[in-house]
Amino acid sequence: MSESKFSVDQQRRTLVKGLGATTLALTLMPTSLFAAGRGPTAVIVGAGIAGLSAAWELRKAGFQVSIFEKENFTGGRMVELKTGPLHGATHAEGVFNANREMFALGAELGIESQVRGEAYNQVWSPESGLGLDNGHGIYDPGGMSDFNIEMTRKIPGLSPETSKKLFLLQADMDEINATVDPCLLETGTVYDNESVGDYYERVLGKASGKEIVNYKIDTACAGWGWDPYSTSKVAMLSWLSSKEQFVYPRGGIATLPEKLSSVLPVQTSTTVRYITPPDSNGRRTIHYLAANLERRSVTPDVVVCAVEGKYLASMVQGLTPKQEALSNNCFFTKQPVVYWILDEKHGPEELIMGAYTSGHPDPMKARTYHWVAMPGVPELNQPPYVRYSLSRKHTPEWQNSDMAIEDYCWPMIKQLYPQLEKSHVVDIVDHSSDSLIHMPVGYINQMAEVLREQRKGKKSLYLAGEYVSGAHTGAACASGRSVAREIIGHWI
Amino acid sequence: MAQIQRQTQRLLLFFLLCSSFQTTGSEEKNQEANNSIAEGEMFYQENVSPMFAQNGCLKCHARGYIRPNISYESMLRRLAIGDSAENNVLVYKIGNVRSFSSNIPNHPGGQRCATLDTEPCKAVRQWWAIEFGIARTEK
Repeated sequence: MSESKFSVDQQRRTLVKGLGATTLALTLMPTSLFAAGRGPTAVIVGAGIAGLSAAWELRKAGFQVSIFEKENFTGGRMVELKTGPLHGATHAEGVFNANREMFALGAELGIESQVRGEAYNQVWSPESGLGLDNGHGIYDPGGMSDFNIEMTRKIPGLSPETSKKLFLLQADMDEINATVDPCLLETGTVYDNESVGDYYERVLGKASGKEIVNYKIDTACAGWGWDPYSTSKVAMLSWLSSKEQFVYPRGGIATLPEKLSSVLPVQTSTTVRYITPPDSNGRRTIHYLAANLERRSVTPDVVVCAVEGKYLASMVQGLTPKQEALSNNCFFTKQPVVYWILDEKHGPEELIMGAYTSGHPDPMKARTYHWVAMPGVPELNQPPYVRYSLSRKHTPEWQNSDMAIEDYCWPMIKQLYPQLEKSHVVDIVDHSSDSLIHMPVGYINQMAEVLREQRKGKKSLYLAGEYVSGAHTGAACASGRSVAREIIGHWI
Repeated sequence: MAQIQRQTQRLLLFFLLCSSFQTTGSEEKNQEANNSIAEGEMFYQENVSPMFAQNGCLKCHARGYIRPNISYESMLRRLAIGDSAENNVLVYKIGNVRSFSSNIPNHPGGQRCATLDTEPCKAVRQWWAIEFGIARTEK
């Protein structure tokens, strides 16, 4: 009896030991990020619109996908930004009607009407004081996607000589409109040979070119945070020639990424540290911080790097010389924006705003890209506020000043909106951020070379995103979809 | 009993073999660095965070900024991107390492370290070493 009891206890101990060891082994065993399936495994780095669009295409083709996103939200710059009670858009606000890949994807997902929207062209109203001020008067600068010659002739202060020469621009605009896809700028490499500022000076002559740059192009470039005299002409002219409208999606800017995120496996708060060069099997290992801050790694068949271009050089090892050169040329423009949130008693009764050319004769206005005093909107829980955006040319001066943005901008906004008093301010919100990828002369050719190399054959790493397509949401979406099609062609 | 022991040993061997064989798409914990998480947070609170405060970072980051806090985790996720103490997003932003030109800093708040050997870059580099160990040499 006692022998039997001993035997049972020993068996139990053995089983417990075995189970303990098994549990330990299971803890150490690799877990899978992917649902069971037979297709190649793909990790997409970045859940912006490029990464999500690529993941959607790959999954349709049978890939087992997982998306890593360092933020705790998806959509990247297409996120519907909400900061406390203040709803402000520091990133994407709308989309261009030329974004055909984006609308096609919306249709595929059954939300095309929500992705499409109303035109943005009712914003300016010079007769009500809502327009661009160049020191000669207030005018409608036109959309960022349309260089309308008749409208440009109406700019106050434009010299008669310049007005007469504007027709010289039409042939180039027609040619670029017919040959360049603004969502895939590699189609415009032949025009990547001079800056947009130099282009207008060459075609119109120095004085007239400068006038057009100061009164029209500089403001359009400022939407991207670009300097006209370093930015490639095709990056701007692909839009200015397109006559496409800028629209607000009916469902909000985040409609498409939110829908994609709801049907795709996204690991949020998951930060990729670095991606190794290919191993002997041609696969790359991704080292990352998981959401719980554990250091982990995974070795998929394919990595799609759909991050902001600025991360590429730090994140990816074993880039080709062409990729390395491109990654070292990825720079982002800055958008310094500050909000003074006002108490309810001291908001303006109606919207007041100002926007100025950087050559404005008043130095305070020349430093200002735009400002707005906004009444409160109780139904949106939005308090009254004053918003100020510093001009691109003066951004480095602030960056090097060692001053907080609101202190640096205070003298300008105080002159423009004297009713603003510090005693009326209940909060200050700094929306300064990185803006879009800068596309200097030569960048688009460099980008096209990387894409040509990428198309040559099966690889373990592919690049996708605005930094290899164009600086806007539609280009990022088009890039994600087209790169995914290349991967499918190589792997399936 | 001996049979149970043998079965258990086989099972254990099977799982250990599974854990050492990395298949495509499988995920592994990296034991080398996971031990230092608590140490890294302590170092951040005692050494890095005060340096951020002394070098003007709180002018933007301590209130309603688009990235409103300067917490351990928010900075760790920038420190993590890259493969060495000198090559990571946090250092290149505050040290103005990768900028279009020297007078157009990559970081919206401008250059915060005169060189990578001065504060707050010096403390950030020490912090990287605690969090992630020796720099990778695959590059």
